[in-house]
Amino acid sequence: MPRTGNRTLSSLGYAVLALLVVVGCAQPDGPVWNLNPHPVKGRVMYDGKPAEGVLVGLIPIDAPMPPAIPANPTAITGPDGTFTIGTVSPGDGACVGRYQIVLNWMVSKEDESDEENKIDKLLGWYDAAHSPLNFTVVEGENTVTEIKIPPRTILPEQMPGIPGRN
Amino acid sequence: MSHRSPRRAFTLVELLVVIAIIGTLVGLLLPAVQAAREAARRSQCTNNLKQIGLGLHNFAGAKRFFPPAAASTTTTSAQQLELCKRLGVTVKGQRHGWGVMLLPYMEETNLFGKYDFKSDWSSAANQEVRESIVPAFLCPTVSREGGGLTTKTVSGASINIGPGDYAPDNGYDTVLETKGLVDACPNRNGVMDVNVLRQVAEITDGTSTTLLISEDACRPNAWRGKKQTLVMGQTDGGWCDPDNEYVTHGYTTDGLTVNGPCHTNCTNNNEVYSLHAGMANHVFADGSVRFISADQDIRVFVKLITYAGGDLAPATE
Repeated sequence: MPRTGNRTLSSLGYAVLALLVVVGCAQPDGPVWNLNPHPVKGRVMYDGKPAEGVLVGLIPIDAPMPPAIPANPTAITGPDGTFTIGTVSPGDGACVGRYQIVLNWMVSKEDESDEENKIDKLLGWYDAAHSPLNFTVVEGENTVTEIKIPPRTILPEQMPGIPGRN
Repeated sequence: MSHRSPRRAFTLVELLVVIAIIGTLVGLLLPAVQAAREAARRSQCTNNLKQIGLGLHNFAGAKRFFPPAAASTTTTSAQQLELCKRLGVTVKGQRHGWGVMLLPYMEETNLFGKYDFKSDWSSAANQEVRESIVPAFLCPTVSREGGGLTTKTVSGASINIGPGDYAPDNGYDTVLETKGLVDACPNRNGVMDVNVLRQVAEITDGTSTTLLISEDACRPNAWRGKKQTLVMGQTDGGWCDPDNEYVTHGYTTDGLTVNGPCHTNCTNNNEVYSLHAGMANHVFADGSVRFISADQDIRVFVKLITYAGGDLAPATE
């Protein structure tokens, strides 16, 4: 009888150990984002033609910003110049609030170097310091007015600063 | 019994005990010795950067501006051509790196005398200087068998270049701002840029919190994480190469995907990289040499790169 008791005890111990292992491994890998993004769509045209491969970013002005969100909402334009913004996963939208729209069009630079070297084809006209584009995300479907970019060949002027943003 | 064996020998157990004790002691000692050797090499690395920092300040003292990352007369800008003339680069269509301009200010006048500023850095006239190995531009933690010359193709010709572990980190990728990994800033540039002659007074972010030269070690070989992945995979690192300047893009921790949160020691693909554990050394614009931890938030790290970002970076220790 005592032997059986011991065995019961030890098997109980194994069961507890197994439970601990299972519970210990059941933790999710990353943080869970409890956000409520709304769909945001739009289109980018450069010199009258659809711009493909432009990184469209929404920098929060009056909206949730990192670390409340994993990263700023972004999207990359398709062959027809259209984009669908995503915050946590591609295309899931952006949280309600006001944003500055920034555009980076990184293209390979022709130079002596044999390494990949990319520059912004928009020459910084639509980076965080210069972009005049704003957009307010509201509940429900959002569509950004078509962004029309004239050809850019010279650099924008240096800005004195972005108040409250540094 | 004592008559039959007058010499008393060690037993097997005694021998084993002695060997075990010696083994334990060596086991304890070896890591300590290795750590001390790495500490010495890191100290030498800091010293090399200090020499470069002094050279940069000697240069700035003599000429009133810091050297550019490179002087390039391949530009059509009349203003930039004029700046190149002030550095002695008068012939069009040429490029010269900061390392060469620094030579006379760090006790390498002989080497400087052999360099011809009227021929491109990659020309035959500058072959001897280009293939020279200058110890002050090398971090001793990086082991280089056979000198570690870089072989790369410039203007269609294959040339050899002496290696270098230090280069200017003169900006950061705008995509980092777009993704929200760093704060938006009106001026993402660092001090030493191509065809830019920056004066000390222009560094409005403070000289003690602005970088001049940072480690980008192990080039010409490609390193990802702490492993070498490709021989001759990063060929822009030569000490006299005008292409050795770079900007911080941020990478993922594995060093494979661009625009992530890691700024130091994840890849030497035009990023801050050293083989020191968890940090890299930098020359600051005040001439001091300090390390920045790889754990430092990239949001703060990029504030140290900019010379006039209008931002405040906390002083490093």
